[in-house]
Order: sequence, then structure tokens, then C-alpha cells
Amino acid sequence: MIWIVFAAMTAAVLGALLWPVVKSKPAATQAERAAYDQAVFRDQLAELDRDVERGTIGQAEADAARNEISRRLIAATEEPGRKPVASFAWAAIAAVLIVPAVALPLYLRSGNPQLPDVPHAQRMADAEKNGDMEALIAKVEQHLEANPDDLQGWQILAPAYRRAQRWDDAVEAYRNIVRLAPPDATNIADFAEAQVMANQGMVSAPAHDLFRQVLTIDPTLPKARFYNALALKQEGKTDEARAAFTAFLKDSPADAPWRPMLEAEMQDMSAKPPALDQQTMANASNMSASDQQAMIRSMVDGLEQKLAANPDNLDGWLRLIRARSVLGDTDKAKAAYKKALAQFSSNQDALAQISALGKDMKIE
Amino acid sequence: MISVAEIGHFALILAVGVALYQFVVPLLGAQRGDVAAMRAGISAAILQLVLIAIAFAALVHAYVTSDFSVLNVVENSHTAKPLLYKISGVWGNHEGSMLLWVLILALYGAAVAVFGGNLPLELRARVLAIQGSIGLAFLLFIVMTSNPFIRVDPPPIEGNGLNPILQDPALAFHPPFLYSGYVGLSIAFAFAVAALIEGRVDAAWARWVRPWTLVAWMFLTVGIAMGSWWSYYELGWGGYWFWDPVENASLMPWLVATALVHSAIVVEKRNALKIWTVLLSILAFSLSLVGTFLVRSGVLTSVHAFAVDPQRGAFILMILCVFIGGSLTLFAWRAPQLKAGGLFAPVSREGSLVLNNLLLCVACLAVFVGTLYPLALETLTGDKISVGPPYFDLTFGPIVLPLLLLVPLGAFLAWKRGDAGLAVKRLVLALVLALGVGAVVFALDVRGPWLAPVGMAVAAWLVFGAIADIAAKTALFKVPLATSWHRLIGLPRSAIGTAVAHAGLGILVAGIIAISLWRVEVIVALKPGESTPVGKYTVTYVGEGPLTGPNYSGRVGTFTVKQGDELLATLHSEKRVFRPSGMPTTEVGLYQTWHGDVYVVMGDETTGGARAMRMYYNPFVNFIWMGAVVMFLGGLLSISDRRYRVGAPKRAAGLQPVAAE
Repeated sequence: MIWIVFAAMTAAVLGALLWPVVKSKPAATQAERAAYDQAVFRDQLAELDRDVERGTIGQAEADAARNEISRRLIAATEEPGRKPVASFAWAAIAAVLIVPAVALPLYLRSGNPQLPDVPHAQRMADAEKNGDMEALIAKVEQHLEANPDDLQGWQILAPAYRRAQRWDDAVEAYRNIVRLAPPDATNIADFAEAQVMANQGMVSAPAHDLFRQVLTIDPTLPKARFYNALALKQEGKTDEARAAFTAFLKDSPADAPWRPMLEAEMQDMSAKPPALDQQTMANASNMSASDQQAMIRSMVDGLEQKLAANPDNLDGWLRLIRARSVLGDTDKAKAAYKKALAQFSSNQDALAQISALGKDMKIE
Repeated sequence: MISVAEIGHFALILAVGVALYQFVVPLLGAQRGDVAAMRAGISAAILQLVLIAIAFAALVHAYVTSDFSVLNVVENSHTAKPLLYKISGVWGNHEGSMLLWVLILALYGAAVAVFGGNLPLELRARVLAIQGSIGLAFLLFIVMTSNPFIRVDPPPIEGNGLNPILQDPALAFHPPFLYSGYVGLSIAFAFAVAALIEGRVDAAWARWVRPWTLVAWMFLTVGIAMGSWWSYYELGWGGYWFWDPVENASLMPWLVATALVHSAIVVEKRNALKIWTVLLSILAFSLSLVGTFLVRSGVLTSVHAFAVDPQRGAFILMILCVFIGGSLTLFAWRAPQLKAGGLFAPVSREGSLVLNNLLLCVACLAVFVGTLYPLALETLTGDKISVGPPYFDLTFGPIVLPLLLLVPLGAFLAWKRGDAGLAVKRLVLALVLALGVGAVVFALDVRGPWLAPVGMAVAAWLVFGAIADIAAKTALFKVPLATSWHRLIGLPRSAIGTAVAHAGLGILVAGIIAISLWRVEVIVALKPGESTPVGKYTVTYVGEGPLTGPNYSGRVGTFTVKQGDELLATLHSEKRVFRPSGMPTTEVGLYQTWHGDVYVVMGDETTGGARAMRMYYNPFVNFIWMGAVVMFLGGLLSISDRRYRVGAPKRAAGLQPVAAE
């Protein structure tokens, strides 16, 4: 469709360029070059007369000027005119082909004919129709800016931010939910959890206080029990942490989805780091292929999070790009590749390494 | 859905092809004397304008509708921005400003195509071809390195916003004026190169190169004044000119363009100084290209240098080499073939204009050295030095002073051979009045340095000299007033324009001298309710409150300005923090009177609930911009002169004897 418009534009341009060439008046109707000079000189003489009339120029000065201009006028009149030549209109017609010959390759190089315009207002209006999450979030944000006390709005936003991993925004959303909703253990736990995520997995003291508060309201809430234990572990209170994890594990049903997490944390506390790796590897060897993949992916995700927190780590980025490519996550590999390039944009050495890897992995 | 952005993109790329056509076909046509091919340049130049205007309109459309599928919009706009700044955001960034640059270039090209009927066809064809080559170079630059139509898929929901410091009405319209000046000089350049190719300077050439230069000069004057006005009240440093490299980059072409406007008169009236004028035309445009290079390549760190990209710098460097190097080579090769024109005595109108040209060029050289020497030094040795106002005061000032003294005198000298004694005699009254002003200033300002009376006398000399010029031309007080009035109306507009522009220069000089000598600066920490004297005024810090704008929030401080017990004004100075960048800016509180401004900037909080405040009384500061506007009006008068409205000669072979061959 858009190519029809482009074709029409090109045709119009060619037409507009060719029309005067084809329709050009014969050379004989063109005033000779000397005529232009003569016109200027005649006007200068007339101007001189006006000056004399007004008395803004002395008589002697005027005479000298008149002589000079007249001499030039005569010189111009004596100049031979140029003989008209055969028109090379055909050459101009050929030259017109320059335009599409230049335009087409240039446009194919940088154009995106398939992409539509996305005016902001239109996008917002069509957000529901298109299931456009980003636009929907923005819409609710806009609404909440005017009505910051609309609980329902925050309840929509908070999980959306979680999905988008916008943790700082999620913290704000849950803060508002806690502020507006009747006291509720789950809400407070979600609020505190968002803080932990925004803090790269560390349970800060205020977050820990919140989890303790939750446990006084509902001592069985799994999320609060887990983070409370985790916080104790991070605070170095290993015994208390182990006790909390063990108690939690005991109360958890056998099919609880958080069991593996608990077990991993407890192993993490009891075993020395290399032993944990061995243990993990041993577990991995017993896993099905898809479980293995999932585990590796989660490790790679962990690496990515670490890099997000501390991006000045070239080896980390190279490992991440390679791992993503090997796992077949081409999109994520490309994203990591771009981020790495941006991160090291001022480091020629690093850039060379990154782009070499990009070539190897065919994601460039 | 048909994408407006892609249509704009395609139109821009079509313009590349049309520019190539406009470059090649008329040039070959003029070489062969082929009328059809020469005419081809006319439609190409108009088409060029149409295509680039479509591209520009498409980009404006993307900005106005906040189309974040266009990368340029994402990087430089935001939905919360007021409409004015959405539009000005189009040229508030590198890509868009380059697009504006070529749009104005195309506008000038089309103007030559449409209004150039009074030029010999060959000359017009060559001028348009050179214009086409400039357009081609810059369009390729845009498409290859700075394409504003790069798309993003999927588009983000919100943009990054425009640099808050650029969100200001004066800045919104400053670049279009400045570019109109820069780019307008391309016409003089194209005329010069065409003359070199032809090996001749026609009377028509001499007559028509001046009005085009004058247009460029007028826009440059207003553009620089607007930039200075903007930095005065937006940056909050209280100054009007900082000898910042980017400011110098616009001053240098202005100085050379001023020289060119004057030397072109000599070419037109006396058929002399042709080679010099051709060289000046090349230099003027070269300096505007250098200005573009200084700002765009990111060589300079400055608030203006919003494009930092070495690849672009390399491309622009190539453009510079081709156009400046190429035209100067052509000049060296062809200039000797241009016939020298009329002779004149040293003391004559021509002589004074030559002196004017020399002084302006030396002044430009001083600025050039002061601007580029630190850069060159940094590149070669890595040393960073800063060449500041003291250098420019010591070099630029002494060069310009004799030039200013010369201005009224030159206007009274006759062409060819003048009489300096007679000229001085006719200027005696102006001289006495100027010296009187100097004496009054000396008497009033006992503590002032010698510069105050001298500077003010020079300013007065310029203004009274301009008045004396018009008085002499209308024989004021020698004939009845009514006759003088008739004479005034009958005067060529260019004569009135000259006097007006020179008077404007005097007004500007008065403003500059006044503010550099009598400015009052007060830096003080104030608590709400406290006052401080600023010159003859008392400024009281009333208090502050919160502030919410469309895309910023912050604090607004309220001040009252009193003289004695009389309340003159209530001022607000703001500290804004813009979303989404979090960047702070200040808004100055200004109380403007004809004789000066009270200028209040609210600073940071200090201990004990006080705020640091900077306050100025800037005497006569508005004379600077008023002077620039008067100069612009002078140019406007000059350009409306009837001699520029002479049309094209008619083919008159049957009526007029054909010259013997």
C-alpha cells in the first residue's frame, strides 16, 4: 500500500523535473546575457538622474559617474552573444533516472515501510483493543496521577509492575495499596517483597520489620515466613534462620511449590560453596533434560540480575551472551549483546571482544 | 495504514536524488549553453523545497502526535511537554536541526529559482547547481549519519523529553533565525563559485549578490541577538555574551557578512573590489560551515553542543574540506581571470569601505584565533586552556574601536575621490554632540574608568553621525521642513537603511558599554523578609512556595522591588526540576525598565533557612537587543530599495540592433 504512495511520489517528482525540460521554450526566446547587464546599467543611469534631481549628489560627481556607467553600457552592448546550441534534452531525461536510482537503495537501507505510525493518543485509545500492556499501565498511571486514592487502580498496577520487573514502581504501588486498603497481611507481605526485589534480593531492615508485622497478623503466611527466615540468614543469625526454615519446611505440604527454594537455602547455609555446586550438579544429573534446562536458565537469569546490579563486568557479559545463544534464546542474547555494547561504548577493547563474540554467535 | 513518518523519510531520500540532479544537469547545461538543461535547475530547486518541506512536516507531525515509533521523538520529546516545545523540539536536537538546516537551504534555493528572473540564465543555472551540491552533501550527511526517521519497534510508551534548558520561547525561535543567517550565506557562496566558473563578474552579479547577502546578514543579526537574549535571561548568569565558542561561531560569519554587505556596494557602484568580494563570499560561507562543525561535531563541550559523535564529525570535516578547500582552490585558479574594475583614491567612499573590510576581517581573525587556538592546542598537546573575555577585550575591542569611529565619516566621503576635511566639517555638529555626551558621562561618573566617557562618546558619535547623514541628504534646516520631508520620502530606501543600521550599531554599543561599566552585582544570603539594596533599588525576599508546571515542579521565590517606599514590581524567580530527566533549571526574575533591568536569581539553600541570591542591576542592557533590532530594520529598509525590484530584461531582438559580431 505504502509503495503505491512512494511510486506516485516518485512519478510526480520525475514529471515535475521533466516538464520544463520537454516544454522548454526555444533558445531564441531567451534574452541575451548582455541584456541583463544593460538593464542594470540603464537602471543605474536612471537612479543617477533621480539623485541629481534631488540634489543628493554633486554635478561633477554625477557627470563622472554617468560617463563611467555609459562606458560600461557600451562595453556590454558590444559583447557578442552566444550561439544557441542543440538542446540535450535527452540527456536531461536520462539524468532524471538519477532520482529513483539514488532514492531506492537509500530507502531500502534505512526505511521501514512496514511500520505504521503510532501516535500516542491513538495508542492509548486502542490499548484495550490491542491488549497493549504498556499502554494500559500508562493509562492507569495517568488515572492515578489525578486520583491517587483509587485503590483499584493501584491493585491493577502493582502486579503489572511485578510482571514487567519494574520493582521501584511496584514498591510505590504496594505502598499505596497498604495505605488505602484495610489492614491485610498479604498486602503488607507483597509490599515488603517488592522492596526486597528492588533491593536486589536483600531484605532490608524496614522490609524485615514489615515481614515480622505480617507474621503477628498471620503467622502462617508462607511468603512472610520465607522472607523472615531469609532475612535472618542474611543478618548472619544462622541458627535462628535454620530453625525458621526447618519449621517452615515442616509445615509445608509435600507439593508446595516453594519447597525446592527452602531446601536450596538450607543447603546454602549448611554446605560450603563448592560442596553446594557439587550437590547441585548431582541433582542436575538426576534431573530430566527439561528440568536441567530450567535450572541452567535460572542460573543464567541470576547472572543477568547480577549484571543489572553491577554492569561493569565484561567477563560476565560475555558469559551471558554465550549462554543465551547456546540455550537458543536468540532474542535475549541479542538484547544482552546490545546492552553490553552500550555498557562498554567507550572501551574499544571490550567492544572488539563483544562484537567478535556476537559474530561467532551470529546474533550481531 | 499509511505511515506519515515513512512518507517523510521517502520524501527526504527523494530530495537526495533531486539534489544530485540539480547539481549535475544545470551545471552541464550552462557549460554547453543548453537552455533546456539550464532551466532544469529551476524546477529542481523548487521541487527540492517541496520534498524537504514534506519531510520536515512529517517530522513535526511525529512530534506533535508524540509518535514514539520514531526514535528521534523518543529521544527528544515527551507527552507532557507543551505543544510549543513539542514543535521546537523538532530542531532542539542534532537530527532535526540538520533537517531544518537543509529546509532553509532549499528555501533559499527555491527563492533564487523563483525570484532570480533578473539573473542571466547561465548564472542562475550555475548558482542553483552550486546550491544543489551543498544540499546534496548535507542531505547525504543526514540520511547516512543523522537520520531523524529511524524507527523503533516496538515503540516505548513515553519519550525522554527535551533538554529543559532548551524549553524556552526565545530558544524555540532562535535556531530558525540563526540558520536562516548561516544558510543564507550559501547564496553568496554559490554566486561566488558561479562567477569563478564563468570567469566573469557581471553587473547583474554585482547587483544581486548584495540583497541576498543582506537577507542572510539580517537573519544572522537577529539570530545572534536572540541567542544572546536567551542566554541573558535563561542561563541566569546575568551576562549577555560569554565569548563561548558557539557564540563566536555565529559572530565570525556575521563579521565577514558585514564586510561583504559593504564590499558588495563597491562592486555594484564602482565595479571594483570584485575579486575581494568573491573571496569574502567564500569566507563567509566557510565560516558558517565551520560554525556548523564546531557545534555539531562535539569538538566543543558546551550547552549548545548537543551532538557528540565522532563519525558525524568526520563526515562534516569531509564536507568542509570539499567546499572550503574546493572553492579556495577554484579561487586561486580562476580569480586572476576576473577583470579588475574601477580605480579610486585612498580617501574616498571605496577607500573607507576597504578599511571597514580590513578591520572587520582582522576582528574576525582575532575571534577565530581565540576560538580555535585552545582547541588546536588541546588536540596537539592535550593542554586545556581557556581563552576568556580578557583576551577578547584586548584584541577585539581595539580593532573595533577605529572601525566605529570611521563609520559616520565613511558615509560622508564621495565615491572615487573624497575630501576628508569636508566630511569632518559636515559632521562637526555630530562630533560636538558626541563629545558633549562624553563630557557629561565623565562629569557624572567620577569613579568610572576612562572607557566610560570614550565609549559613550563613540556610541553617541554613531547615532548622531547617522542622523547627520540623513540631515545632510535631506538638507535639513537649509530648506523648508516640508521640502526636507519630501526629500526624505524620495531618498533611496537603501540610504535611509544605512543610516538606521548605523544608528542601531550606536545603540548597541551604548548598551554594551553601559552594562560592562555600571552593572551592580549583589551576592547575598537572604531569609524570607530580608532585604538588600541593588543599585538604587531595594529588593526584598518575601518568601517561597511550591511550583508545579506541565512537566516540571520546583520552588518559586517571591521578591519585591522598591525604590524608596514605592513598590515597583513583584518578581518571581524559579528553580525548576524537569521530568523525566530530573534536571534543574532556574528562571530569572526580571524587572525591566527602559534604563535597565533588575535581575534576580534564587540560588541554593544555605544554613539557617536562608537562600543564596544573586541580583544584578543591568543598566541599559536592553539597548543591546534594541540596537540589533534597529540594525535589522535598517537592513529591511535597504532591501526594499527600488533598485532591487528591477525585473528581467525582455527579449528584444527585433527592437534593438544586435551587436556586431
